[in-house]
Amino acid sequence: MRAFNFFLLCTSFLALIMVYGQKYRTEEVQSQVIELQDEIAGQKQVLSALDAEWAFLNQPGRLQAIVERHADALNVAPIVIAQYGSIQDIPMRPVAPDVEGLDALLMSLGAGVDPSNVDGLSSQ
Amino acid sequence: MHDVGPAIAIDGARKSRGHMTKSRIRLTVALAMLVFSIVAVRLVMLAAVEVDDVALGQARPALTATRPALVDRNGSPLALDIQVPSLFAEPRRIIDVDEAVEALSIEFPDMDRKWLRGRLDGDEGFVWLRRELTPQQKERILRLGIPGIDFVSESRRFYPGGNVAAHILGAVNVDNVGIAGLERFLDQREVALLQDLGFARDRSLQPVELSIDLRVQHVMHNELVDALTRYQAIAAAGAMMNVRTGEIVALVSLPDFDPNMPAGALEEGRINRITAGKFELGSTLKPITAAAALDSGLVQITDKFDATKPVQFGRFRIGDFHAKKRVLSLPEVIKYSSNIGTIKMMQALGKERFRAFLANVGMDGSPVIELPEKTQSQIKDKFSEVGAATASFGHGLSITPLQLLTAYAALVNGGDFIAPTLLPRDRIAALANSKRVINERTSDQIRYLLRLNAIEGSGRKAAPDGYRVGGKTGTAEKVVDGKYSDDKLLNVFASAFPMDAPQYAMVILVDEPKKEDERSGHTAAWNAGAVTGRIIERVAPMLRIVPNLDPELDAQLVPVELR
Repeated sequence: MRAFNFFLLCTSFLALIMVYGQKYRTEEVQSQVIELQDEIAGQKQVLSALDAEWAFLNQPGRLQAIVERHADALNVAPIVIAQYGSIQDIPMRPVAPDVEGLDALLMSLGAGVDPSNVDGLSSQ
Repeated sequence: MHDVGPAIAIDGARKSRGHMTKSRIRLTVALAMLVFSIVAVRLVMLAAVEVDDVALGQARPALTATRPALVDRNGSPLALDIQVPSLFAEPRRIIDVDEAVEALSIEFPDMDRKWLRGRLDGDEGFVWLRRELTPQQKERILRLGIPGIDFVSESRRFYPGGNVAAHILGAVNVDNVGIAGLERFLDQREVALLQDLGFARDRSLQPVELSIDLRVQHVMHNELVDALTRYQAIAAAGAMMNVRTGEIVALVSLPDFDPNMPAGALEEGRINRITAGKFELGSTLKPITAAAALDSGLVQITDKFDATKPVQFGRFRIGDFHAKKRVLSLPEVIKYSSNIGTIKMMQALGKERFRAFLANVGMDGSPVIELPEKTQSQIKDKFSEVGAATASFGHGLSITPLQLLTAYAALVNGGDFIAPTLLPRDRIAALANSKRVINERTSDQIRYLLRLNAIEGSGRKAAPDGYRVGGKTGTAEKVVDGKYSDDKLLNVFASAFPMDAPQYAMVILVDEPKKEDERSGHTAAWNAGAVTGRIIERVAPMLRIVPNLDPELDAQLVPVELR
């Protein structure tokens, strides 16, 4: 019975210490959470300011003035109708080059035969 | 123990005391258990309930009530919230009022010193000094180190485009409540409700997408600003609408205001002329008369009208501006903008049917649009003979330009009347709420007439090559002192493009323009028409309309009867 009581006493003390530890850790984590939340809020605020600035800088009205001012340096002009085309307007690709003939030439060169020395080939 | 008589048990004093002690212990244990179980239950309750952040000392001011961002159809922001610091003071905690006044008036030279002193000198716990400062100002004031002065973050509405979409977006007041335009509409619709429920504290509100295309909006704004100076006009306005869905792509009314400084919105003459202004829109109504007549079957596209002499109504004579003094075919009536021909057309139709058609294409009442700034059109319920005659060519009745635009969209899109909107809408939703006002054949004929007018008639300046623009001019003399004035004109150009398969309709208004130079005129073709042409040339590529110079496209518009 005495041993049991002693055991209970020990557990109580242990529990007490653990609860205290837990409490302080919770408080610490809580303050970290608040800190992080404040940081997120701050970052959101910065982000909203940057968003606003980006939107402002990208206004067509603002860009048009800049483009007009630097039109010479940029070498740009509004698109004209002549610049439009359709895929049908593009001519078909010319007939493919004679690949086989070239391959044969390379083969014969590789084999050490110079076709220009072979009679009649250059005239063909 | 005895058989008879009650049994008598005599306990000793010690024994009875022992019993009592036992029951007392039991009672104590029971009490202790009760207390402990209450504690346990309470612990479980505490553990189960979520911790309220606000109770932990990080309460944020309720001033950051936010509004949803407004974005255009491509996602470019038109209005968004930014967090800005606002300056307040706690007079109770200010030690040296003179020093504080001195330091603050260096930062705000425009602030009245007497007013500031009155504000700081006192025993209040909280007074606003100035709201919505820049971060730089906040930094400088913090560096002054005045005790009892602090900042709080507030949401402020920012319109990155400034004036560009002023009349669409409207504005908000210092408390972030919408006071005009779509901002006010959104407040009435949902934001107010959300804020009441306390949901609008966080920046989680979904952006609201509009049907506006910022690039087109900018081009229209830019060209109209140019028109104001080029023609020394007192006002100009325009709107463009997708004829297939009813979406408004651009809407500008000049003079306008900067929504970032909404005080200017209330100045004289800054109304939204597209929805809140009604005008005699002149000859732009002729195609509507023609559509009514053609759709009834009482007038054919091949019909001819005698325009040799003016029409006489009692003591009134109505003649033509460009009198041809001969018999005109129906296309010629539109091409030469003949009042006489239009009256004859209306008379063939009958004034009751004409009036009913005007109601059918949405000319009555106020235009259907989300904006709160609207006005009612002015058309007599019953036309007299002469009233119907003048109405057929657009005089004696006032309608808003948006109503004209909507009617034109219905005339060219195959005959479906689709109410305009500033919010995105697809073709299916548009058709679900549309009503058929003319049949497809009439719509084809109107497209031919409008295109013809742009090729050969008054709309030549409005039709840049390749974009198949069709349209009609309207030059209305303004009423000054009860008389129609010769030099004060309201010029309108109503158009649609590309005519072979219309996608967009547009109305441009120029108020009291002057001649650009000696050789030019001051009728609608010279200003409203020219502006239309310049806008279409710039925006058509943005709207993915491919130019096509093939004359076959125009040839196909000609109705079979006229080929």
